[in-house]
Amino acid sequence: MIDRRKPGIILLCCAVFFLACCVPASAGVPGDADGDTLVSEGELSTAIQGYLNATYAGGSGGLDRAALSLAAHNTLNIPYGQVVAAVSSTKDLLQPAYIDAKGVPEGSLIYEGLVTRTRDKDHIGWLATSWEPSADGMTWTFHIPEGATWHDGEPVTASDVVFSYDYLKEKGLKNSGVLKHVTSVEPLDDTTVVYYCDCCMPLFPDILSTGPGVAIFPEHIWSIIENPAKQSDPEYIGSGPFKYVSSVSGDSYKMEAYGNYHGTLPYVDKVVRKLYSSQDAQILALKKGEVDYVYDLAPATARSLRGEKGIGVTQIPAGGKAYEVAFTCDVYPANITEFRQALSHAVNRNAMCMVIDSSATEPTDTVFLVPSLAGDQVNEDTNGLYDCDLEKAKTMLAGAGFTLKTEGGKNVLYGPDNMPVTITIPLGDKASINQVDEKIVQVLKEDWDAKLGIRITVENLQADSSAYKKRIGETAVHFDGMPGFFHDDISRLDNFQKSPRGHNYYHFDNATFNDLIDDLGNTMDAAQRQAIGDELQMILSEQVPCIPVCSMDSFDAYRSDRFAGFDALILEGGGDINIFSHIKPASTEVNR
Amino acid sequence: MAFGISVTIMFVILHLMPGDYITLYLEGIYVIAPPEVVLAYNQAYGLDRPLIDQYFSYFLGVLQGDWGYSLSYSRPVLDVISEKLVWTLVILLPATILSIIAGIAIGAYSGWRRGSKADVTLLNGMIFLRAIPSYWLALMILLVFAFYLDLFPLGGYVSLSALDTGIDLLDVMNHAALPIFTLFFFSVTGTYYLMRNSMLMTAGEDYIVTARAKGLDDMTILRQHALKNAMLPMVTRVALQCAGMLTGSIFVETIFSWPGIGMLTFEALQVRDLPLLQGILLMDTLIVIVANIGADMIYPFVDPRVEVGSDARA
Repeated sequence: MIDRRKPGIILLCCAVFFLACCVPASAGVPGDADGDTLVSEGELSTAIQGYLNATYAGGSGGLDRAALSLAAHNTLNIPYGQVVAAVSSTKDLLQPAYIDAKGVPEGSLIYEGLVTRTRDKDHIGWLATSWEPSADGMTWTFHIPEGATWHDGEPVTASDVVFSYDYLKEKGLKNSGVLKHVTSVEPLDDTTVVYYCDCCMPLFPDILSTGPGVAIFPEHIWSIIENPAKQSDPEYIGSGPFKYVSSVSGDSYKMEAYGNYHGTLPYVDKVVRKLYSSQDAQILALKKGEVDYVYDLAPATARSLRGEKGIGVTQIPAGGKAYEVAFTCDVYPANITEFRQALSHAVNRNAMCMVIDSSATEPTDTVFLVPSLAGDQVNEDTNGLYDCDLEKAKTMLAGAGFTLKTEGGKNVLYGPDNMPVTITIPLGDKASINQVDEKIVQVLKEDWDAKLGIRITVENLQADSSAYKKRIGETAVHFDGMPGFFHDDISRLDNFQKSPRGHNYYHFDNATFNDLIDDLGNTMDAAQRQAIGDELQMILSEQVPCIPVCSMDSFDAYRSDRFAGFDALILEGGGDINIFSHIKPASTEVNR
Repeated sequence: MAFGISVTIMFVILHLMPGDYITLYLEGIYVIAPPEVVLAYNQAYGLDRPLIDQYFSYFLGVLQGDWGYSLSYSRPVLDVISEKLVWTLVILLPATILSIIAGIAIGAYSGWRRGSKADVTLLNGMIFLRAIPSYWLALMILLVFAFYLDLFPLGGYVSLSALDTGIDLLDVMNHAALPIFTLFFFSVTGTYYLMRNSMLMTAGEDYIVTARAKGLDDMTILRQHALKNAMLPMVTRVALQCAGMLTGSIFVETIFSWPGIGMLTFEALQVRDLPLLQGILLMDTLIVIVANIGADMIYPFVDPRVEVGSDARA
């Protein structure tokens, strides 16, 4: 007889091993006095008491507890608490390694560029305190603050700025291409530096701050690093509001407020980035209180978090992608301007928003720019021109030589060549995320196919983005899903210029438009630029190279019972750099 | 030889892919990749050289330990893979060993007790376990044990305290428990099925009947005769299971944020880091080859009738 107990014993051993692993790890939350995610009021009082003892020599001077807290947070600006932010991939943990790969991301807390860009398109000083262009826009002078220091205490000088440019160029670093029009960078004195360009650069601050931006690195550290592709600075010495403390490879890294920061000292004392590769795990960690901040949430996920105790959700208007129906203007029938104009009245944006996600999308009524991002740069005269009116579309199609017939109970549109009009739409790439393109097609079929008689066939190329990119140049219609910020400024209208490098995304080629874009690039005066921008938008409204559909909001969530300031900051237009610099612990005075 | 062919196939597949993967990769960073940056990347990674030149330098590089350069990590591919492989093995080895032990034990018992209530229960239980989608199972384990019961952390391999105090073994074990548990569930069913079937076939062999006729007790027959013979197919299975679980751990590592080869594969796919992906596939190929050789080497010890290198017809 087999001993029946044996399998049981083996299973028991497995269970014992499993339970042994249940033993909680050594708690050891690092120094409560330094701040963590569960900072008590007592710890805060201790910090304030220290200040009072030093300043008033043993008396509170009648200030009550709340007033003291307010003084600590808002007046004395004592960094306090620890924010744990969840990131989705290892590369998001590796922000400091971007000297070779990417420049400096806008959200970097350790490294700074000279300027950074806010959500309302303004440029604010990052390392630079002020800057001014020459009259011809070919020379840009930046001033950096006196007394600014690197995280190791060495002074930040103009020579660091010069070095950063030279280093990018000399080492052939990949990001050097974005400074191709800079011929040299020269220091005027310790705190003034001049960029000399070979052409007018009205958007130079934009070049320095976006896509993804150019960082300034300490000369005394990097000058001895011969091969930045294979070596790095293990201490990550930067000049930003937070300095590097420690990291665990592939899991997390920690920064703390840099006490000698030249700008506004952060309210938060420590920021930890922790990897949670699935969004499900991120949400659970947020609910459980292991993290304080998660970003880039799916709309449905964000909705499910609303109403959760202690969790706040921020909806950022047009923070996601902006979608459009794009024409390839040299492919039949989209090569007929009247055809494009007619179809501009056959796109039901409201229905599309309903299908995509009505609570997270906003129909775009302009010809390209997204109003919530571009603000007064939108030419009001071009607003609402693409109203959805199928009868008007039919009339315009008839005027353009198209004939609508009914055959076998179905509408069929015949082109000027007396052949039925068929449009193939490739699906893939950026617009295919969350099947948005399929949802747009669903609505288009109801109108274009069923009512206007345009046969629509779909080519699914989601698995092959190379094939998709090739195909969109061959089909009359495709979809675009670029980030919203690519629709935020008149300078973005250069997407429609036919450049010496070849076709644009729409194969749109309009001589007047191309010339105006050149003019825009050479114009420094804001009013003149706006006038050109208005004219460009007017041309687009007449030529219709694309029909904007909607912009999508993005969603972040945070522990509102621990931190305040996420909402106000993001909605009021602060740039990423400021997020961790302005979040406040949700203490009593903040709640009041 | 097999490895050389694999290297060639990987290279050909990579270069047969339509489009320019550098541009595709950069579009993940820049949205619209500046041509100057694309050019700089192509030069930096040697993609501006003739294809045949690239092939030979890649082939020689692989043999010399230079497996290319990761686009997203800005580090040599082999360095990145080696680092991640360690963490994968931390969960893979215990999970594999546990699943083999449990699978063999339960499978043998189930097969030996064919048709009994215990066998039917175990078989149905294993079928049910096998039918559960792995992603869902991992998520449910995370939800129940880490969130509701709060017995384990939700992800990663260390607690935040490690940022101040360094990595603690007990902490790592605590974090590794759920991924190991999940991987164990994924793989134990396969071992169970094979062992049960093997045992069923062995139990009907003449020498088992002879053993019974000799009056040997069940336990002795099982241990001395049935189990040894039923174990033979398990050698190959175990070897290939070790190799297969390396890439099979993608779901587990992604859900539990475990920074091993599985998550590396997922990230390489996400950011289109093809040199890294190519390196991971090469590593997997290498492990399969080594595992097969290992199985061949072990077989003679398990079954003395088999000799490595001998011709059975001789």
